Amino acid sequence: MRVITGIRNGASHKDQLEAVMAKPVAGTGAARRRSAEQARERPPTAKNPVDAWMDQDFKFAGSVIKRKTAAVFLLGIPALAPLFFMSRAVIELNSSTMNQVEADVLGTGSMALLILTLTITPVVTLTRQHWFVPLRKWYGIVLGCTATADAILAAITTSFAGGVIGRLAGHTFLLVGFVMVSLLFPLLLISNSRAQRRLGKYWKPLQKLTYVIWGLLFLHLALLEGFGFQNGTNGPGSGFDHNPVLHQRLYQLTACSLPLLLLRLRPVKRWVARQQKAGRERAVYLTFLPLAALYILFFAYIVNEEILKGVSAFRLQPVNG
Amino acid sequence: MILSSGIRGGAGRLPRAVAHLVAAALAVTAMVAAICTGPVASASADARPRAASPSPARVKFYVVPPPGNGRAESLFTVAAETLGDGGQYMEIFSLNKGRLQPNGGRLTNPRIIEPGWILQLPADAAGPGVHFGPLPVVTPTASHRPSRPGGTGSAIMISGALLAFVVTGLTVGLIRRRVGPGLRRRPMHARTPGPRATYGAGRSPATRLTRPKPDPGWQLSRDYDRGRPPPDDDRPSWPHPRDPSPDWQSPADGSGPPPTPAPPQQAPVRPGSPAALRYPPAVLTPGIQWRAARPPGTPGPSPQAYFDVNRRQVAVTEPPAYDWEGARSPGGRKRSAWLANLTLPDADHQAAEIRHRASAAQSATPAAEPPGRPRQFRAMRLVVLAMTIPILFGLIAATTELALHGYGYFVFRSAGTGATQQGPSEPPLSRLPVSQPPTAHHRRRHVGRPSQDGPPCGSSLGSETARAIRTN
Repeated sequence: MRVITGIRNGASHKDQLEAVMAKPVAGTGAARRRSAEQARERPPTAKNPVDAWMDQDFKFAGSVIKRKTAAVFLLGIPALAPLFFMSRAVIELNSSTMNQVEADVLGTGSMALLILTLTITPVVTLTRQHWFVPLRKWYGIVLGCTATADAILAAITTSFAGGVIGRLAGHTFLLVGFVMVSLLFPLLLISNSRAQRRLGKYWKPLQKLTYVIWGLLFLHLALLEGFGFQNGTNGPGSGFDHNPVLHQRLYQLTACSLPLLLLRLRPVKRWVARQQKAGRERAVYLTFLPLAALYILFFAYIVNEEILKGVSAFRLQPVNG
Repeated sequence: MILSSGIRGGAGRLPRAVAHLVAAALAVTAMVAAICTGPVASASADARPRAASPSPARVKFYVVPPPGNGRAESLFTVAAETLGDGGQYMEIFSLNKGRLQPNGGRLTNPRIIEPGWILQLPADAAGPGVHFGPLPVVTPTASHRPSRPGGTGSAIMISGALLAFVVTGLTVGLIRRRVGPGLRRRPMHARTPGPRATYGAGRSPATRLTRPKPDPGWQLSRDYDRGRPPPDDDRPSWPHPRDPSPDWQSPADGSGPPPTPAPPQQAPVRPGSPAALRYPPAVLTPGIQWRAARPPGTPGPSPQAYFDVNRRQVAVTEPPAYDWEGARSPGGRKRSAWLANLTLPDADHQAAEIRHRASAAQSATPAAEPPGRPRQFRAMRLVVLAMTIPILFGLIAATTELALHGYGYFVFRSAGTGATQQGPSEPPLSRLPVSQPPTAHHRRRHVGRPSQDGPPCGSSLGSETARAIRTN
């Protein structure tokens, strides 16, 4: 440390004090000071050109906002769709709609939001861009709200036997879903800066319970729908559309989770970083292209079902299948 | 977060309280209006488009009776009574799907039929409730709100809870705005990173900084933690930088700190004890006024004299002279002293702080980890407890269900291999046809998504039938 170095080198007391008073920033050191000077010399630029582009301001409606703020705002809005789809049924007291499709709308929406939340980090790994990282927190918060609303509506409106308790934990998949919400809701409550400060080093391990929820979602869907192919109608009527695998939620989750899991493995991340450092980004993209295509295909079916069921719920004409 | 930080500017000209009041009024009005007008509008839209066309042909039909003896009708029971096989409920459903019913509703979900509805039956229907003749003409009546017994009450509860939540949130926000800056949280950019600085945060109120400037004998610290003993550098701080004391003799090599009095005792140091005077104000007794042994700028005694003078102040228990602005708002929430630290007004404070850091860093032994658990452990334990209690509750509830209804009921699957055909359509256990053969269940098993398409298809929720299903 600079202060200590000065004292130990035999500087006079007055010099020491002047040196100390000249730099009232805590935790100083030679390296930090050098980096601060370097930072003063060059304008702050993002490492990635896309990040740098996103950092620029532009005028909108009389105010000046950053591009990434607008982009994150626009990308964050669709996360509210599940809650929006069910809002009319809740406000208009339409228990029939709530009873029939709330699990489809809010449950599928929660699954999509969890996948989106888990997608941010692998995308950062792949693209080395960071402007969309705030979306992870936002998607997580909306995920907590959606899953909690799902549990509340399921406990009130579904027809499972056994009253509220039976509807929450009367079957195996219900129990797993309830455990997931029990984990998610406290995570939702501590998703703020104050809680982050209060929890200190424990905050991140607690938030990593999201991975437990990820695993429990597999169990939840396996217990609910098994590994068969019956869940393929996706619309009015009762006929298959010849794509039963794409409609099976367990397979949807598996396909979407595959690239997310792969890009979280340390050897894979190291390999990606090595390739990127060597300037072979294209090789990285080509390698992960099939997995990305798989992800997009199955996620499109999740979104498709969410929109179909959600719009029908918003029209108060729930669609089964 | 995203929404609030998305677009700035524009709305800041109205007084915030007025803007919030208007927003609250609008939100409440909108919710009340939606609750009051929503169902009627939707019902009129439902009933308007087409009236039921009278059927000239003579057909068999069935009028759904009101529930009796706690037993409600379902398409399955109607099919079982009139066709002899509950599994043929889809035939009735296809005959009546979408047709306007006397109460304005329509059959769109095979699980939901309501009393008074007229269901056309297949030609081979027979039974006590089967009528034969032209299908009665249905004229749309007043508004119809599809509901299930108890569903409206639940929805009212949900809406009420939402309304209460929104109103409470807005009220709390307004109060926070109105009361003033004393309750406001400091913006993130104005906060210090790292552990919370303390002049005794979490201790007694008088451990905060109560004077605008520290006397030369003070050591200001932000590194002390709750429950953590003071570090090992128990010497008084250096003299004021603007008038170095002639009594203080710097070591020859310039590396040594000022001479320090020997600590009378080691930890634990209790506030109020003479030993506490060796430590920063974080551990001081309430009411102690630290005084300089000499006016600043005049030659004076050594740090030992500071120590002695201040030790004599132990007996003084007068209240603090005044609160430093920012340290505590009278009548308001206690502000931690790190806020005060952030607003150190002049270079003296900063210098005092830096001096302390320098002396702390210079001490031979690094700051030891606090014994025991860090202060965040308590909050973490609270969060874990908040997760564990509902999970335990769920496990107990599941065990109860398992004990009451058996394994076959508890392990349930709505679709796919091994589907047991229970699900959201399952009726209460009391009115299940326990004697229903499992073949009826398996006949309908591969049609659509039975759990959501159809009424209960015969699988008993009792353990006996579940066992029979498993054996088949």
